[in-house]
Amino acid sequence: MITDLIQGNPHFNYNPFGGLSDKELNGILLPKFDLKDIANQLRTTPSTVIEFVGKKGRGKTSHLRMLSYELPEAALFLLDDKSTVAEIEQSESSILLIDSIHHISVLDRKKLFKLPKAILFTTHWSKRIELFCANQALKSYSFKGIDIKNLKRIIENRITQAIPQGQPFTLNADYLDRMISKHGDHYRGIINELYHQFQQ
Amino acid sequence: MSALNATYDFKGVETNYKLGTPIDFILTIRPRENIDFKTLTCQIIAETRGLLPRTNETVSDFNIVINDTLRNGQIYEFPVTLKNNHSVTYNGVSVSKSLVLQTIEVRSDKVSFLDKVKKVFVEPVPLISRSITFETNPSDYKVVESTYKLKSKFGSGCLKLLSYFFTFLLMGYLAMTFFYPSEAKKIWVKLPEHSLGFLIGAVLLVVLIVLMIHFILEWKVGKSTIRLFNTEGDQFEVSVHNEKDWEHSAELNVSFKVVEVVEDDRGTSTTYHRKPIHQSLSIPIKTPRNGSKVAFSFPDFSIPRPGEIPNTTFIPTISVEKITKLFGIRNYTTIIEIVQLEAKKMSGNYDR
Repeated sequence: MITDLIQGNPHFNYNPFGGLSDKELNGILLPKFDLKDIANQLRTTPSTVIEFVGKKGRGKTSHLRMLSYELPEAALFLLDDKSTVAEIEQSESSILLIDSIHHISVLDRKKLFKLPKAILFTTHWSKRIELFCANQALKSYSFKGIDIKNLKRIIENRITQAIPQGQPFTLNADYLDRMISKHGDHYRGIINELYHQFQQ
Repeated sequence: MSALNATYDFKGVETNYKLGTPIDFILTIRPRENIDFKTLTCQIIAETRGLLPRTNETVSDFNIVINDTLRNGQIYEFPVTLKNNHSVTYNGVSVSKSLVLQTIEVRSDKVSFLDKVKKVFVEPVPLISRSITFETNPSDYKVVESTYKLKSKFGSGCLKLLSYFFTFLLMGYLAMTFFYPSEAKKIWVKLPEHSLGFLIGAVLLVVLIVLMIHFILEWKVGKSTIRLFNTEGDQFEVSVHNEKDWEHSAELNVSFKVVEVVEDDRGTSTTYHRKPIHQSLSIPIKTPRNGSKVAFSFPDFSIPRPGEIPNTTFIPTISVEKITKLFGIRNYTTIIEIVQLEAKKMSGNYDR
């Protein structure tokens, strides 16, 4: 029951555990890494390649979307099954932010990594070997592990956005502990379960 | 001089509307000081939330051009008509869609660079907003009257069984050769000559037996179809047909459900959330004959039209559970098609 987690009975305008717009995301996410530093690396080192690597639901895409706010001059590509490398190559931006790079083939990726552009991409599996073959250095940021304090703050931020200002509430830390025991560091798994519990 | 220094009200706005019904209301403004108004926009905003990125879209809008100073203490009334032919309110399992009637101020005067930046990052604060619901009229649902083939689940069951069998065999072989190579070698040595050939032969035999059982069952039971008909009221009928007139069937249990499928592409990989949002009771047909019919009610809530909610589809399915005289229980399913009638075009002097 969601009332076991949220104490204080606040009035919700909507389910706080659903997907967020980019605008809402900025007020909720607690960056795991210094995004300003990553943005500077991409701005100042023309051919740098950075990967956000980690399993599903650990926050790679959220960090990428947030980084695109730090880098308004960068081109953001959220790839899917129908995406082609051509649309990325056509970009005039010197910084490319690419989500789900696995949607383009190994050969196309190799071509991409050789472009004189700064590239940051998300992936489930490290592309270290591919970068080595393309004779490029790679900086890797691993999305692993969960911090209960951060999870608590993220959930508090989500709830605060979804309720009228000034309504008090507290979160049950034991409940969050149980969620972490069940889902491990699968942050989205936890949030999705809370979403369904809230819907009931 | 800000538009926020006034009290706003929607006069004549209901809470619930049927899709396609125009919303006629009066926007009243009571300024608390003299305010120069340019243009106000009344709009219906649809907001989608759930296990997908949140989206906002304007369903309908109506501009009120004022270009005048509204005086402190006076009450001003502006008639408004908005129409919504497509977006329904929906509270599903993995996604929901709410509709809000709101009024915002449109500022077309000098816009600073900062204001332009703010417009990108900050949504306009409505002067007044109210949640409203739009529902489909239940009689708007219709099935597409056609014949649908029933697919047997037995075929996919056979494939699953075979894949489990081969996976188990392969895992066992790999585990033995990797962890106990000497023991594995001893076993191979102890086996008579040509045992690998026997093993492959045995595997092929299993595959053949399973496939043969499948085809014999299919042939014996015969192909089955259903036909759909619209009836009076908020129901539709399903009639069942079988090549062999259900010769080997003791009983059929027919049920209808609608599944909500949300394609969650928020992350690096895509996840599908499949949840039933409507499920009928299972209706038995005790002694089935070709043409035997059962009736189902349409859902008593609004299902959004295809494309109305991004990344979301609704799949109506008829399941027929067949209890055979010879071979026990077998399941068949088929996906059927349900359409909604377009809302009637509105008449009147609505002119925009």
